[in-house]
Amino acid sequence: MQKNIKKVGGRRRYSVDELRNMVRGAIAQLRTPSTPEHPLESWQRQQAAQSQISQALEFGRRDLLIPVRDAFEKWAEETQAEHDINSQRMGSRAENLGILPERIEPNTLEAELSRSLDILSKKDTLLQKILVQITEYREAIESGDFDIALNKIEEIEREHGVSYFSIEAKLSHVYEKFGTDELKKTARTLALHGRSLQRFFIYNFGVRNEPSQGAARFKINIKRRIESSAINQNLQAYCRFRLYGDITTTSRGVALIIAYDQYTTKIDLYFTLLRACTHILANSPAFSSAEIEAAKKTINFLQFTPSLTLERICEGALRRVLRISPAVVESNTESFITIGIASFLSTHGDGLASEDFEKAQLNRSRCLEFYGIEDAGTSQNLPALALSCLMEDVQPFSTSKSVNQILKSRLSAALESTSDDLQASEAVRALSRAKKFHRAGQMGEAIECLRSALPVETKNSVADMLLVCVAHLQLESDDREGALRTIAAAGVANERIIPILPLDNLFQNTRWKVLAEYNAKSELAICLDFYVRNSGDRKFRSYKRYSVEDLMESNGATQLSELVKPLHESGIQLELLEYFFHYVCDVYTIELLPNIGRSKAVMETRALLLRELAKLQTASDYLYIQEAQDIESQIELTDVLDVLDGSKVYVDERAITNAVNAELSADFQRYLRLVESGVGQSESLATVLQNLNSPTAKTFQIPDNEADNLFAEILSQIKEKFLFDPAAGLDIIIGRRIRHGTIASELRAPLERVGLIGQRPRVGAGYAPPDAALSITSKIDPKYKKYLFAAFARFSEAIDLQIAVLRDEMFHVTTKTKPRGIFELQLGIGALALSRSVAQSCVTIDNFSRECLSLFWYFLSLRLDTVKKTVESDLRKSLQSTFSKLVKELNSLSVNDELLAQVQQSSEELQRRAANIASWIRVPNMEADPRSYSMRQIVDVAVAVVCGQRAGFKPIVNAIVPDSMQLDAHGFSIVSDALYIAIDNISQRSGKKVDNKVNITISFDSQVSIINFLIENEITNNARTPEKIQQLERIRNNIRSKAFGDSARRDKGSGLSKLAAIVMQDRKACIDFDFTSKPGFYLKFDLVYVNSNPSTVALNGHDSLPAQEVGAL
Amino acid sequence: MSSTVRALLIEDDDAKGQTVYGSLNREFSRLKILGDVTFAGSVQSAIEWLKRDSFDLIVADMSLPTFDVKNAESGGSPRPLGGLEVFDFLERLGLKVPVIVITSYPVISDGSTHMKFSELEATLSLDFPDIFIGSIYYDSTFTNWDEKLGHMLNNIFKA
Repeated sequence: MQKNIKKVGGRRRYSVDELRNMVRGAIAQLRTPSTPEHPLESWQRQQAAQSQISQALEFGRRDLLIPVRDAFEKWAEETQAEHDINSQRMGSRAENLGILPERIEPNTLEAELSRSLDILSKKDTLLQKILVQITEYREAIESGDFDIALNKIEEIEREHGVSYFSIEAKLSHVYEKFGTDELKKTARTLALHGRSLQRFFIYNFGVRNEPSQGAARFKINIKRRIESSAINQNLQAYCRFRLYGDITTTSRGVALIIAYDQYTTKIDLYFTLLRACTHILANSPAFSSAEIEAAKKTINFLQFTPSLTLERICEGALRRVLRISPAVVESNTESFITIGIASFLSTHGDGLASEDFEKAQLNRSRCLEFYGIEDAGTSQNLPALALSCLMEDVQPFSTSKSVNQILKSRLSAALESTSDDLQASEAVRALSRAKKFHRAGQMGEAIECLRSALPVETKNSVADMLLVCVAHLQLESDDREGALRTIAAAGVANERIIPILPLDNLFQNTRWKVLAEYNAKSELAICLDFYVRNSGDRKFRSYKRYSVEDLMESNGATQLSELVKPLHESGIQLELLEYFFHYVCDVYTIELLPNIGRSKAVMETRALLLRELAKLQTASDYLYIQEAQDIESQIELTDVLDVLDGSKVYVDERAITNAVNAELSADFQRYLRLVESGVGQSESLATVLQNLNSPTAKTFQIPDNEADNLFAEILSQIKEKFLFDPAAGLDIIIGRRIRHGTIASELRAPLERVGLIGQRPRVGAGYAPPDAALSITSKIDPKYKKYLFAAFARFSEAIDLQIAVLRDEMFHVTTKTKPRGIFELQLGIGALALSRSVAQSCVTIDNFSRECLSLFWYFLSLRLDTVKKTVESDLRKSLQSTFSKLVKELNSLSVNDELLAQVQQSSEELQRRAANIASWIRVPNMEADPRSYSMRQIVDVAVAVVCGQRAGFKPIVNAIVPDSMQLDAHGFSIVSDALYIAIDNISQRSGKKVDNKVNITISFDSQVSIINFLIENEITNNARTPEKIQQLERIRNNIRSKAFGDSARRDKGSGLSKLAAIVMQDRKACIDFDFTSKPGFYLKFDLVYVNSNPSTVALNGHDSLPAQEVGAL
Repeated sequence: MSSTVRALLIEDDDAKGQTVYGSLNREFSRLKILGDVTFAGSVQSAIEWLKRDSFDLIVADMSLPTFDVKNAESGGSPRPLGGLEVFDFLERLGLKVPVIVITSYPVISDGSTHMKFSELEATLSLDFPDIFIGSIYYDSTFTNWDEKLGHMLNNIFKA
């Protein structure tokens, strides 16, 4: 058999016998028995049979000669009729609707029109009958009787079967009558036995009726979903047509849609033919004369006489928008459409009428009145229409049936004749005169007559129309400054007309030296702002800034806010002034103005400017104040974040000195006595140094000098505490503030945000391709896919390796196990001599321990200054090399520029992050910080830090805090650490990253001087597992037995232990956590509030609380 | 031209800046020129230098931060085409200083527009024919950028 198979274009070609057998086979499927192993419902058999028959018919269409094909189709139809499958009806069985051949290749448009006429003419009697029913249905709608309309649809379904026409009509009437819930229920019922495409259609017919679904949004969403599906391009085009009426102006596109509906139902074919033919006639220039003739012939056959004339509707819409008394309307539908088109013409209004119109176009595809006006939404608005009538010679009468062309012709006709009805409008009369002046080259007169017609009230489309025309005429007559002023005023009054103002003509290819000559600087800046918004031209953004700078200079202003008063006094229109300061002077512009120099000054300048603007008491002053307040809060938050960033390398000095004082006080006093008794100095400091650096080596030796030996021991212990105290030492705090997620987030978060970095599902597994790689797989040659994924896997691994080096090797105190640790405190002979002399000048251990810590910081800083530069430089180089490799690999795979640009932007971002990471390497200066911090600020900071680090974590935080509570820098440091750990724990463990409701309650118990923290959050169901419950129990036991030290030193997965290390420094404080039934999680912990001046404490509604220290002391 | 060649090196990446600086000094000495190189790490600092000083040569990166990045200053808005702002500023002041662009990116994106290296070169040649000398694709793993820089300097100062 195989060798007899004929192929056409690489595809198999079927003979008529084979196709008959396919149909017979399909019929036989109806008798397939239902068995317990393979249960089959009757509708499933029907669907299988229909699918195979549709496929056979499409093959016949493609492969058979016309007479043979006709005979085959006739035979197939009769055979189906014998077995009660669709073909004799105008509609279809519900379960068989939407069963289409896999792929349809249309013939020419003429051929498809002709074939469709054949199909329908064979059912002429039924067609006539259903047309009567459809007319009755339309009359019911027109009279607003949706009950009768719905009954009529059900009658049509009973007699003829279902169709897309009936389903779409039914759903829209169900919604109109019963609302959204019933609509969804009906859609679900109708889709019950449908195949996947059918279910997709019906579901979305329902969605597009929902009141919350905007027409434009619906189209965008559906288009994206269809395009991302695996179905072929031809079927995609049909889906777009079926779901939102998308129809192209190519012959093949129209032919394709018609061809598909030859396989749905004859009712739908009827409506699609009407739609296609009106579309062809409305867009006649895009089609051949033969196609236009075929469309006319088809419309005649379909007996379609529109009840409304487009000319009449367009006339009505123009009258409406020109504010001329409306013509008498004949029907509800005519009124609805007229208002809809008028809303597209209007440049004002809330857009509700146009949205209603577009939605009706979507949902009333069965309303023939909407046929032929599909392009109404793309028609020009009144100012654009008037401008083209003024500047061009528009044919007063057009053969085109497009809405825009009819509107344009109608308005143009009105300008040419003084007796035209539309000349009832003063604006139209002015336009008419201006057109005559324009033709005669009398530009001044033309402008003047338009200006004189400007209405007093300018917030309307008529005023917009006149201003747009004036601006164009001014520019044509080379009055560029005049045009600037008109454009600025018109655009500020109504931003919708900015696209039709002559900005391109004004600015395109113009250099600054030309613009610098204009006197109207504020109007120039405003116009440049409009131009940048439209064109995105970077150069003009600079020009905009230059014009602001020139204005400042000419008004003697050194700060932007100083410009408000002189500009206001210069008499510039208030609206323009507001636009200038609010929109033109945006952050991007302010940044490079003179005397700015840093980011904080930008924000301060903007806030000050807005406050000055608010003083003018315009209608928007409260908005300006609100924005200024937001900026000021942001400045405060940024300040505090900077403090936090500057103290990542930190030691809780008070905790250390307290511990040292308690442990070493007696030793220190003994040392002082030894010094007094004359045994204070050894011969060689080298010996002391040796004792200091290797204390164990000297354990069993008799000391040469007892005082120095004791001194070395004291110093060694202080150093040990400074570096390694398990709660307050340098290494544990670096672990908490830098190693615990911070480095990883700093480098990974920006890449995760744009989907450039993959993740490993488990340790040792390969990297999953990131979103950016997945999104372009369809755009590259499939054989390169694995290379693309491999390139991203290598990139991801390199970044993670870099993180690991920083986290596991570099950001550590140098020890034998961490030889690459960058925090190395080596005390040489000089340091020793210095500290010994300091010790001998101190009276108490408290003095000495404080002095020691200062010395330690000093000696540490000497090294860190060098290390910082090396770390930054190495990190930058390493990142640059990693990105460079990725770019080279992507280039070799010919990926698109968009992805390469994204990689480049991320590379820059990571270079900045490298600088940021290096900036953490510095000794803190917290003790010198005289500021106090409110508890609310600290909560905000902790949330901001976690959200900044954890890509995608967006909780809803509700914080109840004692508003008057203020903490000093030390307290701030401890509380922000604790809150950071707690909130980060939520981001990592709750399983709910978005909209997780986090309640933070902070209260102060003045009786015991304890601040209580309660943090509750939501978790996903799978966040609570038996393993996690066990793990929590283990942590709890460790905390009870105070065995959390080792866990707290770990850099990953140790949040609660780290928190316990902070909290459990005082026996009054406790920590508790568990899952709740919601499902949720709570975490309670305490921090001791150390009040140095109890008499002034006033909390909970009292006046104020002085800045105090917090800690577990 | 003054006896000492004053160059403004606009570069936010210290490592790259130092490499280019070394290369500039080598070339100056090869050309027997006394060179004096000033660093600017952002668009803002470049503009400030241009306002208060005069230069005989500018070597600029294309992608720059608004402000110099340092402690408590993250650099403001990133300006992927910040180098072009320097060209705009020179044009505004009417300064005819030769500019060489050195960038590490094959494609530069300014939000909505993506510009390939070759397109950037064409745009600069068209918009600033009097001052734009040429652009160099910088890749620290190769030395051809260095040669290209030497060639351009040779053309400027031996001409």
